Amino acid sequence: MARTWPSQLGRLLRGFGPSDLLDGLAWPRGLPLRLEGVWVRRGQAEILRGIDLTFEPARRYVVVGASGAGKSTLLRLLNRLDDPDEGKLGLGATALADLPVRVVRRSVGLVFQNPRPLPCTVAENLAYAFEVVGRDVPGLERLSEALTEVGLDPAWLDRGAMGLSGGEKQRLALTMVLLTEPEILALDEPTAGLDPASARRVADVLARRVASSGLRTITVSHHREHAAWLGETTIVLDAGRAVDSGPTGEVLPRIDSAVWAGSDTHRSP
Amino acid sequence: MREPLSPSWQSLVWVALPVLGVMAALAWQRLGQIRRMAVAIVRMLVQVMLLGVVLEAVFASGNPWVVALVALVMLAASAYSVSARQQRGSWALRLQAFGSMALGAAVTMIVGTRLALGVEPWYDPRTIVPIVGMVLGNSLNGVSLGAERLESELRAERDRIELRLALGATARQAAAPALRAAIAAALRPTINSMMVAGIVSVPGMMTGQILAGAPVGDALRYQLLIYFMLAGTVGISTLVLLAIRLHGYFTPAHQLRHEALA
Repeated sequence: MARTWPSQLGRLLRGFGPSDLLDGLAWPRGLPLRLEGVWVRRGQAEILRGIDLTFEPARRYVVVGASGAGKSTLLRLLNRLDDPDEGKLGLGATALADLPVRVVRRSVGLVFQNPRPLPCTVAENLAYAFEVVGRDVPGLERLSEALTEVGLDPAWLDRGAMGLSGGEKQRLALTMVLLTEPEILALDEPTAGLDPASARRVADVLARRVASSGLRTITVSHHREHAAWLGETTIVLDAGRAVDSGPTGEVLPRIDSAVWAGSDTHRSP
Repeated sequence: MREPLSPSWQSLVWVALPVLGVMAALAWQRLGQIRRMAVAIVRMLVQVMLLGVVLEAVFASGNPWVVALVALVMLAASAYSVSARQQRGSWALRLQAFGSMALGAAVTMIVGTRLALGVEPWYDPRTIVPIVGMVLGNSLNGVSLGAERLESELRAERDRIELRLALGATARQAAAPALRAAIAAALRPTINSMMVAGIVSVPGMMTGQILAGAPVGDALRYQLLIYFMLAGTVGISTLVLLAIRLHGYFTPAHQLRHEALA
C-alpha cells in the first residue's frame, strides 16, 4: 500500500506494469539455484517447513514423497508462481525475487500436473508462449518436430487441443514449455498416466536436452520405475521437509513403500 | 397536446383484480409464492408512495444540496446492493462499486443534462432525480453482473491462468479471456435492450411520455437520449470496476492471489 496513487493508476492503465526486459541476457545462465530455509504456510497449515536445496546446472533431479508432502508447492516457488513466507530462493548470488519475474518464468519452465491446454488448436497452444512476449512463433516445421519428439502426431497441429487424451495433453504441455528453451524445467508428474513406452520417451527427451543444452530438470514423480528414469539425484519430501537425498539408485530402495502406494488412489486420469 | 390521462385511486383497484385472481389461483392449486407476492405488492405500494412523498418534497425544495443528497443516497444504496448480489460480498467491493458508478453516472449526467438537454437550473430536481435513478439502476445491474462473472471465470479458469503466467504472460494477458467474458456479461443487457428497442416493446420512458400527452417526436428523442446515457454509464462504470477488481486478484509480481479466490 506504500505505492502512490499516480503509479497505481499508471499500472492500471498500462495493464500491469512495464513489460519486463525479456532478453536472455537478464538471466545469468549456469548458476546453481538455491533454496535456503524456505517455509510456505497456507493459513494454519505449514506446507514447506525449512527447505534447503541446491539445483546444479545440467543435472536431473527427482522429487518424491507422499501426497501432501509439499512437492507441487516446491515447484511453484521455482518460477515464482508463489513466493515463500520465509527464507529465500537465489540464483548464484542473486535473489530470484530481484530478477524481473517474467524473465524468471521464461527461464524456469513449469509443466503442471494434469494440465488443461488452452481452448484453441494445438498449434495455437504452442504459439502462445511466443505471442505473449512478442516474439516470432517458430515455423510449422519446428512445431511439427517438437511434437514428434514427444511422440505426438504433427498432423494434430490444427486440431482442438481439448480433444486430446490426458496423456497427450500432458505431452503437449511439455512441448509448449520445451519450445521456449528454458534453462531450468520443473515438471509435476509429467509421466503419470502415460504408457511405459511414452513415459520412457518423455524421460529420454529430457535426458537429451540435459546433455545437449545444459537444461536442468526437477521432476516430481509418484512412480518408482519412472523416478529411476527421470533423474540421477533423488530428493525425498515428507510433511514439508527434505528428509533424504542422494543418488537415485541409493535413495529409491530405502524409501518407505507408502510413498508409492499412496499415490495410486490419488492420481487422476 | 391533449389532456393527459390520470389514473384515479379507484382505477388502481380495478387493475389489482387480475393480480388478486392470480393469487387466488396460486392458493387454490397450492403453487406457493403467495406470501412473496403479497409482500412484494405491499412493499411496492409503500415504497412508491414514499417515493412520491420524497419527490414532492425534493421538487418543492428546489435546493441543489437536497438533489445532491438524494443522488448520494441512491448511489450508496446501489453500491450496497452490488455486493449483496455477489456470492461473497465485501466492503472493498462496495467501495469500488461506489467509486466506479459515481464516475460513470457523473460523466453521463454532466454530458446528458448540461450539453444535451441544457437543463435550467442545472440541478432541476424534476429532471435530475428521475434520470439519476435510471442511470444508477442500469449501471448497478451491469456492475454486479461483471464483477460476479469476473470472479467465477477466474475461479473456473485458474489453472489456465497460471499456465499462461508460467509461460511468461503478464497478469493482464493471462486474465484477458476472463475479462472479456466479464465485460460481455456486464454489457449484454444493455446491448440486448438496444437491439430490440422499438421492435419488441415501446420503451418505458417513451410509453410514459406518450401517455402523458407528449408528441411522439419529443418522446422518441428523449428515449434515445436515455439509451445513450444508459449505455455510456454502464460501460464506464463496468470498465472502471473490472479494471480495479482484476488488479486485486493479482500481485505486482504477476501471481494469482489464492486468498482472493479462496
